[in-house]
Amino acid sequence: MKKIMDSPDSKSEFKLGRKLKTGARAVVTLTSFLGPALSVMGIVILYPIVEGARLSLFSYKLTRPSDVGFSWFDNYNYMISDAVFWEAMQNTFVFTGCVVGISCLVGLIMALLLQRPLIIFKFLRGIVLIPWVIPGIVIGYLFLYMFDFEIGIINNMLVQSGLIRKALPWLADRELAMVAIIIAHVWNQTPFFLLMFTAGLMSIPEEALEAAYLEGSSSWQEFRYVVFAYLKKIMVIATLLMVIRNFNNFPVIYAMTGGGPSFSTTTAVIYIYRVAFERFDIGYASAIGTIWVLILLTLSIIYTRFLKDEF
Amino acid sequence: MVHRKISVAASLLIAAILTIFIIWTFFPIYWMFSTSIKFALEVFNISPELFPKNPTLEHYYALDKGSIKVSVFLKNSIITGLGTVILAMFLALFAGYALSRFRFRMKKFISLGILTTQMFPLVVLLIPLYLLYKRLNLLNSYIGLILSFTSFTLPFSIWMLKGFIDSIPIELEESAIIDGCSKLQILFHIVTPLIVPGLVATMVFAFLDAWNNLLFPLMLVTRPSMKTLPPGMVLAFAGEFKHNWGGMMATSVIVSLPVVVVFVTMQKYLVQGLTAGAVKG
Amino acid sequence: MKSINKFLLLMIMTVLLVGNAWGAGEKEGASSGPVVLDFVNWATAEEQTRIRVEGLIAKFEAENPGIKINSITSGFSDILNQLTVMQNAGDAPDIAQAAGVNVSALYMMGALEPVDKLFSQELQDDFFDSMYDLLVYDGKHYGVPWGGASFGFQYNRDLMIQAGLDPNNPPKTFVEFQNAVRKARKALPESVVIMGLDTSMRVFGFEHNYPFLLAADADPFLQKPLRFDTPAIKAYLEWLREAARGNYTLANKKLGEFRPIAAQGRLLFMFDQQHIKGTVKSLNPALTDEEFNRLWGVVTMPANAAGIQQTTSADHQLVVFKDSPHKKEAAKFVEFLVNSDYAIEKYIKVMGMTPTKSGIKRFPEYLTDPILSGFINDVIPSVVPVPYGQDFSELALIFMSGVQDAMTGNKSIDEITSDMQAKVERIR
Repeated sequence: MKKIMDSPDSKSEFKLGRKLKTGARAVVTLTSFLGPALSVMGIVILYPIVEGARLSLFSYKLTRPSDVGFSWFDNYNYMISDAVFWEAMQNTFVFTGCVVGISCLVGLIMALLLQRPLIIFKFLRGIVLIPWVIPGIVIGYLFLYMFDFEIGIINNMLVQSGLIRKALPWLADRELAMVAIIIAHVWNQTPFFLLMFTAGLMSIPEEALEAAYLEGSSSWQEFRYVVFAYLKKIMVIATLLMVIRNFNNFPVIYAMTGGGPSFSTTTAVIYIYRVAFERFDIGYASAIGTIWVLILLTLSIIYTRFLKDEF
Repeated sequence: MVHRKISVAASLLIAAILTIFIIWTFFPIYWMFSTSIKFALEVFNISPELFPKNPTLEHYYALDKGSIKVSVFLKNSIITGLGTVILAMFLALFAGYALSRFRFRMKKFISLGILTTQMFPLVVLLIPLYLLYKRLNLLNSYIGLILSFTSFTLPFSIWMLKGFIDSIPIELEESAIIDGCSKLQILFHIVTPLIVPGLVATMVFAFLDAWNNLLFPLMLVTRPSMKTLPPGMVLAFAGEFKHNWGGMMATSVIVSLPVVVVFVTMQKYLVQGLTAGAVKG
Repeated sequence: MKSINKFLLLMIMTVLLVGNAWGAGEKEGASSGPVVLDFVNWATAEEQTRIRVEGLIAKFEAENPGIKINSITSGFSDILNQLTVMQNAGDAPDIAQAAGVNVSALYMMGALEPVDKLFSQELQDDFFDSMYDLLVYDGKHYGVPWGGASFGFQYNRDLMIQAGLDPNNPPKTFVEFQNAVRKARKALPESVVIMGLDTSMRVFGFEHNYPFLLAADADPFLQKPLRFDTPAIKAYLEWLREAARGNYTLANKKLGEFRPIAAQGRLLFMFDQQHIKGTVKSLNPALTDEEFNRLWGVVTMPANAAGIQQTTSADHQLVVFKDSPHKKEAAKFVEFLVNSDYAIEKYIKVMGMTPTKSGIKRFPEYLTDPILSGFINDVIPSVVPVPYGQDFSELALIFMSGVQDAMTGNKSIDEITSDMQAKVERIR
């Protein structure tokens, strides 16, 4: 069902037909359609968000049950001077930026290369999507094993092939650990971008490409002016989704480094987990979480604005 | 499709890049599999063997023994996965249709709101959520897990289905309205059959989200007999005494296999589905 | 109401009702019938111990037909989280297996029942003092030892000879120990790991380092208020940095990760618990009892400058919860687990862990097996309590992050310790 020569943004709405008037009946229909979905999300997600914001204003440590009390913005003040918090923020941005940037780029390149209608490519395309499907916890343990200093296959192969002289302490070195978790996540997420861009490439109308060809533009020009224009929107949406997902990514990092060594691979979510379940400081953990939501919200708004401006 | 001629050099380069990419994609999967058939102490070799010389299925046999049966986790994962797909599809279909077809003032706000629910690190709220579930009697229950998985996957599902529905010309529905069909009939008899690839794609993603989810079943299910595969793996292998890499990898294979199979067989629909709709919406 | 809405409403209600009824099948049985005890533990999660503990449960249930045990399995690293969530949601179990800081954390949450009134004086006297007194808070005991697991000093005799050290004369003081490690590193091949030290970012990592801190006279808890930037601690971190850079040990590893290395005969000095023989043998089935006894010796941890040898324990313990409605039955089960002939024979002894005093008399192998008797005679008397307290977890993690910085980064030790101290002062 392809639309013919459609610009990527036409809206297909209509007023509620002739049968329904706007007003009470329309509202009722609307509620019944949207209601169920919204209530499910409301119970499981919105309620805890609100509860979290509320808890962040309390001093609430499980190990001091007699000390629980309303404490205004104490937790937030504490956060500002918490060096580990800022380190976690920095780690999260660096980590997310690298993972999304690299996956997006590699996904794009591979999607372009896999365009040609060779049968083997169709088969390959299916198979290279597999890393996306594997559960995070499995990826975490798998790469933990592969990156092991002594018994990991990666060190083994690097040394044997002569690329490095001594084994690298992947997960024990601050910078290398970050590289290792980035590699694991890129491995996992590139297929998603590959899939999205492939779909996008297929939806570019023939005519646009033919026109470019007939005009005598080079491959590069065709890419830059025709293909890219169509892919931009997908890129924005896909990267937004992945940025949000990586900001909150838990299983892989937890299994591979637990946030270590020291706090060098601790992202915000890992830090929240540690504060909540190792320091039992629920109030503070909620405060970090609330700030986190606000940051992501701001980012999303900026993104979607950007989307509007582009079109 | 327009195809330009490319030079031999370029072809070779492309082939080389693709080969590297394929090896890069496959090697970890191969490694997972080959580790799962090595003997327990072999996996601690300083020079791990690329091709296990003495393969063994001992880890696979061990999966179904003792009080922690991987088969139980598998059953739970399947039930909650399918339940999530069904529930999420219904809810997302209705919601996606509403967001696509109806015009109302709160639309932007609701869309943004839906996106927001994806952003929150739920780690923080496990205790209030646990309390809430306890009050609603949802702990250690399939329905509790299904609800949580559904809420996790709804934003993406709604977005995808909205995109697909967007791509269906209104004219089809308008003639149905003139004929006197109700919204419900339009939805089920006209719109749905036209977005089948998209529906399949969305169902696959929903299943994935449910299957791979770690945090919810980890915290909202305390009885091991109700746990799904991801927390089951943590339970079975991140123990005090040792890292049982062989067993862990065998379980990993079992955990990954169903979703891989589903995904690869449905792959055609995914690409087709995404092409037809969401990408444009 | 329009028919659509009715339809939807009906659907939602049906789903919720059906699901609820379905899911509710997992809840516990009705109030009449046998007493059911919820027993949260990690023993049934570990391959080595699972079947044995299940056997214990079955035997107890057979001997006590009115009581059923519901074993709730949890991973060792997760168990405190799980118990915390359960306790705070009002869903606490009756009994739990705990270790180390778990007991103090649970005590501070107000979750535990003091055991002094639950057990006979006879039983309480039967516990080794150094083990039972680890669990005293506010003058009362809040747990019961279930298998001692103290940190001893094990050495591989063959590798010692190869390194030019005397296997009959293992290092006795901390300084001797350091010199032995340096000497061994020069003599032994790269593939041999000289010492197995837990430097993971966990509270357990700190517990494992604590005996060494004591031996190095670097105990941070000696001064009040506590300080992490003392010269002794700086010296200790320098030692760890030397160990990481000189490849004496593997950085950031958990204790358990050294066990396979020991099983392969590639570890010189090990600092593990009583059950080490069982664990190593299960990893390397070709290793016989005699061979193990010949190869490995056990002594106490190196002494500090004053000649005092001290170590800590990460004993497995059993705790009873304050909210349990069946404390009497729970106490009965606990007593069975820690002191019955059956439990000692089938589980505690097999694991090589230390039972009660009378347990040792009833099972003389404890005194004839060189490894076990080494622990009983040398190690256990040297056990000192770890100063668990309100902020212990936080302090432990701050310390371990400093350890990791020292071992894997380039910051100066002075900078690291002042960072640590700054964090300590910010604890609220």
